[in-house]
Amino acid sequence: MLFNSLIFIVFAIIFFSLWPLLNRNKASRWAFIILASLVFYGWWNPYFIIILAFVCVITYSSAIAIIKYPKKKKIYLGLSITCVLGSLIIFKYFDFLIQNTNSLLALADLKNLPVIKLALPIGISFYTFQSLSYVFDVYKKRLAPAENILHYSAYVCMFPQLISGPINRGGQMLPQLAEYNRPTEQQKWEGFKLLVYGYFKKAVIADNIVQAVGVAFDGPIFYHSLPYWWINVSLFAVQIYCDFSGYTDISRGLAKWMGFEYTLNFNHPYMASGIRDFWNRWHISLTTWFRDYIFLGLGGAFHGVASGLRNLLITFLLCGLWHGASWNFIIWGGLHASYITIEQLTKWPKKLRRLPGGKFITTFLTLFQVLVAWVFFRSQSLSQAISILGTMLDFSKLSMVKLYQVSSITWIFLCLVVVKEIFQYIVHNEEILSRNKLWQAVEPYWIALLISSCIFLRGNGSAFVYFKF
Amino acid sequence: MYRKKFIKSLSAAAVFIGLIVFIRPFSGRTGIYVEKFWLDKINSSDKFDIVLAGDSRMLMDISPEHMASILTRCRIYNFAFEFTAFENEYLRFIENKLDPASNKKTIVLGISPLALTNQAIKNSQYLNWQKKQLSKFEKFKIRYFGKILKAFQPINHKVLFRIMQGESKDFIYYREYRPDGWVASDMIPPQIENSIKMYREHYHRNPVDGRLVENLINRIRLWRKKGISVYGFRPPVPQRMRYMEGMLGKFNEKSFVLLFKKAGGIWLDINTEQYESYDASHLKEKEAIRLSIYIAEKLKMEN
Repeated sequence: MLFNSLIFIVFAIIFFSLWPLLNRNKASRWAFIILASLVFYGWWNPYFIIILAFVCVITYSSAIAIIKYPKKKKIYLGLSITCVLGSLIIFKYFDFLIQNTNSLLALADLKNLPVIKLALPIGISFYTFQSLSYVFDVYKKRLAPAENILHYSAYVCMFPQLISGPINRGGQMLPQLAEYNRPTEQQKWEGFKLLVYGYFKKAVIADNIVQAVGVAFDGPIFYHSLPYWWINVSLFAVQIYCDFSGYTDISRGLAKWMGFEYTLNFNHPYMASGIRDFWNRWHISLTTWFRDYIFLGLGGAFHGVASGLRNLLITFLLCGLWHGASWNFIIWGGLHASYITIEQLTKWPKKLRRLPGGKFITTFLTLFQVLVAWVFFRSQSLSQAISILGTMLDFSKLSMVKLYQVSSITWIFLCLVVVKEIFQYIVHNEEILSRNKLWQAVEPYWIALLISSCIFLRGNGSAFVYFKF
Repeated sequence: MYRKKFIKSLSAAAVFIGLIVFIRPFSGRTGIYVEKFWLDKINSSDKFDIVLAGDSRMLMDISPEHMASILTRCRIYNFAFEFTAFENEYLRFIENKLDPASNKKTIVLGISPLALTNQAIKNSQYLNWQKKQLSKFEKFKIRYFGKILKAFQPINHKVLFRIMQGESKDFIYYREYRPDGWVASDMIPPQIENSIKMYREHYHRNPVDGRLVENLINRIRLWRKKGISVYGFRPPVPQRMRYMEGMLGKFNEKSFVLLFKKAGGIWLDINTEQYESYDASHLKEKEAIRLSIYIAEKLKMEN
């Protein structure tokens, strides 16, 4: 079920009514989380539960075996990786592999292999990565394995993060799940605010922009105008940010209401000065996953610049592939790898920041690079992406025609989100706000206004973008 | 402190929401919930003596309720959709809505050139609703909580934007979804120029497809063989729109009417000048009522 659906609101009311009763005892807490999460997950397709259960059992057993039989720990780690990544490859990448193989076979005039067209279990990329991080941590002795399968399954299945993260680490979540955490009044208030902000970002901003972006990207390109495409790519950047960070906010808000703390996943990414900084602010839980288990696993940058850059490229290509089985995503990852490589070699953000107005210019240039990369991410095909990019960089195509397709109301929402980001960025430090008496008095009414907007200014309810990943 | 803030937020939100529900000056304090309207239209198992079919022009121009004031004892329903082509699936759908036991089986077609273009198949609201797989919960929610959900429907952004520009006194665009399949609508002030611009662009790329015309004519022939009376008319639009639909849309009304009549259909001529449209395509509510009565009288005369 979607967070932005009526059925989820009914589900949440039931869950949080029973939670205080069942939270007190370990076993009932874990069992209740699992049961509720399976209802939440199975709402899409009950058969998907089988894959989720398979991943839980395999990773839980492997972690136990790694500790119990240290001499054979590599075998158990391998087994775990094969099973978990195997299921991810079968459901997500099999057809992509077949299609690419068929392209090669066609060159040799050989017969095509059939594609299997399996339905992609929602959230598979997230929970497989979360369970793998647990096995890796146990293998590296950074984490003691959970002794009870209910405890472990509650960590993997927990419904607020199950579908689109954040990808929480075992070291952070397992101890929280083992304790009786009664949510404090402050936690509830902060959770409530996160829920409201999350729904506002998703329902009011992302869902109102999605249509304009769809008109531009979904279908043949009729308009070759530089401003038209820069605006549409910027709209997509806002849409994906509000959609995904909105989901994370809701997820973190729900967790707070349960008495848990999730990891921060977004930290004003479009305010980043430098691409490296961007990745420290965008989808932080995934970035740190790739950093810890892939980049550092490959040796990081400890063995010289060349091997460091090679590892960086591999990490980003895999990160691109994680987002979807398409060359567009791989190129998107590759582009970011090349940005960071240039940044590492020239140190341009650091140098530029020293100049007057340098911070602003650095942020602007970073945003420019991010937007160029988003073209590959959002385009339907590689040829479409190249055509759009060609227009975006062709200064002879300055026609303002067709800008009216981006409706006036979309402009308002775009401005709204920019103002909100700047406001939040400036008053990022919660302490500053808590000392401000005026804000303290106004805040409840501001929240009330956002709630009303979520109801009356919401766009057409659609699934979250990251669901398909 | 936090509990107080929480309660204050919720109370203020309740007041804001209540106020908005009460004072929202636009779109639908009457009528039925939009989703319920479409769901009923698609899934209704009721059968009728007269069914109305076509695209948004038919949807907003003809009121079965007002037709029934002339054609008493006739069960009439408007099965038009916003963007619909006269393709086979839709034509079969409307035929199935006729009561096989009725001795007055009649189909009234609102012929809009737009419904004879390929783009109309691509964007068909009818086909989209057919494909839509609503869960049992969704259907339950729409059927039984429609009234409550209606009060919390999003506010039309275009309206809101114009109100923000200070045009609230002058600008009204409303749609009222009626249980008989009609959507009563109006726009003050009218927006003729914008709509013509939009249609010009559409017809420029999507002229009428001869195959869709042929398909419709064949279907009319088939209906006639089955003993169904078929009436057709062109919903009134301003002269400029008619001209553009002829030039850019390649719709030749004269030859279409000839084919229509040859297939056994009865064509109803409408005096375009007598009806006022608000966007060069759809009639104002009171004009739609007038046209509905006129069509009903014509049907009564023919029988």
